[in-house]
Amino acid sequence: MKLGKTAIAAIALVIAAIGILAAYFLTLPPPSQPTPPAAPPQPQPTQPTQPAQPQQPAQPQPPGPTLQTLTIGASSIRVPADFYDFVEKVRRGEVKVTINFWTQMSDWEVSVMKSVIERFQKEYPGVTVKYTNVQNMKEQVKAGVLTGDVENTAHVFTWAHDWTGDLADSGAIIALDQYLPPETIADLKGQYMASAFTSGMYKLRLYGLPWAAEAIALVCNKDFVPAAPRSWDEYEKVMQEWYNPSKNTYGLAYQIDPYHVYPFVTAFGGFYYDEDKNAVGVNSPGTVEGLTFYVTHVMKYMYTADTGMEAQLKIFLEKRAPCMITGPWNTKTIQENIRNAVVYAIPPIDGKIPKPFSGVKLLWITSVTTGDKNRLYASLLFSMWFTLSDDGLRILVDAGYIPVKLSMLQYLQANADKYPMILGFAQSVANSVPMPKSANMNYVWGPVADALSAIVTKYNEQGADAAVKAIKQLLDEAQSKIEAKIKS
Amino acid sequence: MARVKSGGLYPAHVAYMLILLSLSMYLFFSLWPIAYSVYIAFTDANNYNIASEPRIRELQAQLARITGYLQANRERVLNLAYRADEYLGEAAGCLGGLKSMIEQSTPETFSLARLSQLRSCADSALTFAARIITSNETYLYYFGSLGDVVSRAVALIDGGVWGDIDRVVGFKLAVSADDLSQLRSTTVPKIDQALAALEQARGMLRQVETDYDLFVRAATRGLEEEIDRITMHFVGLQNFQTLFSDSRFPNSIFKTILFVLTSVPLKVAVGVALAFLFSSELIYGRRVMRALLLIPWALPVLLSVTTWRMFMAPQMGPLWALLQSVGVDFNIYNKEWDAFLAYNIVEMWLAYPFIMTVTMAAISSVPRELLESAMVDGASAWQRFREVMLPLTARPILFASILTAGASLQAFMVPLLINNGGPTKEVQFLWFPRTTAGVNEMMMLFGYNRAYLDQQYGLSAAAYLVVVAILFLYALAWYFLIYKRATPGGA
Repeated sequence: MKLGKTAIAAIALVIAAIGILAAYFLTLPPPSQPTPPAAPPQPQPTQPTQPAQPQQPAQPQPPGPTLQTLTIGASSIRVPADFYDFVEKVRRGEVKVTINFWTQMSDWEVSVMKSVIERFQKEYPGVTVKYTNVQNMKEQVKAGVLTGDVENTAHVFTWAHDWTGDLADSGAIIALDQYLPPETIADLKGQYMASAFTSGMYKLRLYGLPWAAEAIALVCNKDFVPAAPRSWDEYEKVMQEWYNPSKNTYGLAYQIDPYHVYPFVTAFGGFYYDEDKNAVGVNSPGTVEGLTFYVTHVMKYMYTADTGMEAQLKIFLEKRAPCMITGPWNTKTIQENIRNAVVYAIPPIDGKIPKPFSGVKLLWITSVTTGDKNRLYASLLFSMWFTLSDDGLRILVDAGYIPVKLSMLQYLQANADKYPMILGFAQSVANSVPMPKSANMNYVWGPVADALSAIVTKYNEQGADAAVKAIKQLLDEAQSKIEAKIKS
Repeated sequence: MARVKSGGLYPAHVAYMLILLSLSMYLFFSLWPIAYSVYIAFTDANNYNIASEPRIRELQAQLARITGYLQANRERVLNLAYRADEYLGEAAGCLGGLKSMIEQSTPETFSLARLSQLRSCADSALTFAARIITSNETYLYYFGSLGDVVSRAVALIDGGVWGDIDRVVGFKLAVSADDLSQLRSTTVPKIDQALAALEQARGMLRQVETDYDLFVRAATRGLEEEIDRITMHFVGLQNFQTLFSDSRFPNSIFKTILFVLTSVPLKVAVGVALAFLFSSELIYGRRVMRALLLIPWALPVLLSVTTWRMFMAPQMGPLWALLQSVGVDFNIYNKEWDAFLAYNIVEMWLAYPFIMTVTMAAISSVPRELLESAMVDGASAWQRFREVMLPLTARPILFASILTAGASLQAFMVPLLINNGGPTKEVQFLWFPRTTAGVNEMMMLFGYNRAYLDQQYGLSAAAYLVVVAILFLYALAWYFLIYKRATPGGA
């Protein structure tokens, strides 16, 4: 009965297909229903039973929630009583929660993270942290939130603060102040460097807590540059002595891109994008002047045929340049190759202070956690502990991260000889401008990078004068492109 | 329809089911994704509006109830607005205290304890105020520019004032006269700006108290604007207009076609030459060598192209060093045509095994008798090659060339990994306006960079739609000019 079998097979296939389709549509997030419950507009301001529609569990009203003081490391934070109870329970292991923690890091960082997490687990055996190092983290997190896949999505994850706007606008992360009273927020604020804490704020809400920061500085081989240059003029003399392309020696190793040249832009009062005023400053007089100075007083002493990180780092490591302007991410490689590396501030140019961009590493909590209070609280606790515990932070500092918690900075200052590079970078962070976290910044990087590359190409092909002449026009063009994109 | 007497092999309902099944499969797996990506090409999709449904849903829920809620809770909202106003006033008071302290103190009288007291006073007042303003109980954040004004004040205070104090005072136990003068010159103006912003915000809060209905309307509008900002819009042909508004994309199409014209002859010439060479019975051990020559085909492209980049990279690569030693300054990073040459070499290296294999198969199928009889007729080796081998192997080589030209047209990995389509220069192509662009950005890479560097998915999808059109034209040309002609009688 071949026929019957075929028919049965066909029917089975149809059923399977319908099943697949049905499964697909059932797992889709509900199409944006404008109003989940079309309840008449009489919402009780406090609806703790509706986590999907974030309300204010805590109010700044006088009869606020009872607060208790939670101690993490040397910090005391006032927290709501039920959060405090939760912390006590997981400390004793009475409540068991699992949270997913995601990073997108290189191998050595992963092992550091593991040891920090181990420490956390020891203190709070009730919370199991499932740590995964992923690629394409942003896309994965957003996709996980969209599909509402609670178990397989990050609950806590970390990256530099410039993702904040983007993630907050898409609703992928939660604002901590929706779940914590203002007292807690105010106490937290007092713990970190002001600029680091602010980088976690977006539209007046606090989205993430900072645990490390990075900004570029002048990293030198102490054998060649024994003391911090007091001005760029002074350092330029060093560069003049070193620069000899025929022998393959250069005055400075320096990666060229919009991020790295920013100190020279800010020194002359320039900027790329001001998010408070929503202003683009790519062709502002300061930016033009800064880049002109850059071409004539910095690029002139560099190897410009390949301005990528690998090639420039190699020049510095092979001692073919006395210094390199770079960030803490290269600390490990530099220390492995150069015995006597020190970090100096980028010297002032005629008294004008060059301020690099800084990136602050934040911990964010994804919005999938809001369905389960224990998971949410565990995520909050993990974020607080990670950014506040002095023991955990010490592991990070020893691994080369630049801390932003005030007590850790004091510790660094007290042990200055033990951390020569980290302290230098920490000073550079204090002297930096946080990268804008507006989603508009995405439109700024590309055109500025193009303009800079074009300047370098011009410099290589036709020399410094031609490059200087082209700056204004290239920046004008980049400016108009960015403005067009922001407006559209 | 009348029920057909089921006399045939298949009952009619089985046929319907099969049709239904195949149609639904077709719709689900082919048409839907295609339609979606075509749709994206006509939107302004970017990184913050493409996956923002969770936030939009949250805001829409708020929008649905905002008016009713604000009307019903007038007293409560007004009360909270009043309190926010008070908190802002308190913060302003603390900042004023800080200002006068900086202005009037001497290093001896400057008290760090008082400084931290003022700081935490201002911070906590601002935190409370911000909490009320952003709260879903007041919707004050959406009232005109109130949210932005308070944000700016907070940014000025946190980043500016406290940032300066962190930097200048840091963890010192006492401040010097120099520190104080620095604070006076840089920080006091920032305090003034922050105070002005706070005053502006307080003014707006008082406006809420005087004209509540205006506030309700403005807050609703503000919320609508916020939803609109993170919603994807249909923009018609604007993306296509943008693509051709400057030289970047036209140039990248031009460069791609140029690349096809240079790389295909190169690949085919090398592949065919090697195939003939290694088909010759005169070469000892040719089987082993032939096998070894296929290696580039077997390696992952990512690995081999990265290796090539390292091989040619200035300051690092051995090939670069060799060329340098004979006086050639070869630079794949900042010379347009050096990079283009590098793409051609790498593409050739990646693709010749394919051409070689196809050609060798064709060669081995040429009957030996033909060659022998040609030889008997007195044809020279060259004549045998030209008159017998080439015509008999031409068709397979032609088809291999067509396929490999398709690959060149879609060049992506090679330019991406060699130098991401660089170097970047000013580009002027035909009548299109000048612009700065990667001069070797092939069209596939162009689309990729728009999506992953600029995060403009709409523009990227539009670019790929153009690419698809070009590929379609290529396929049509291939079909009508070559396939149709070649098929009936053979080459």
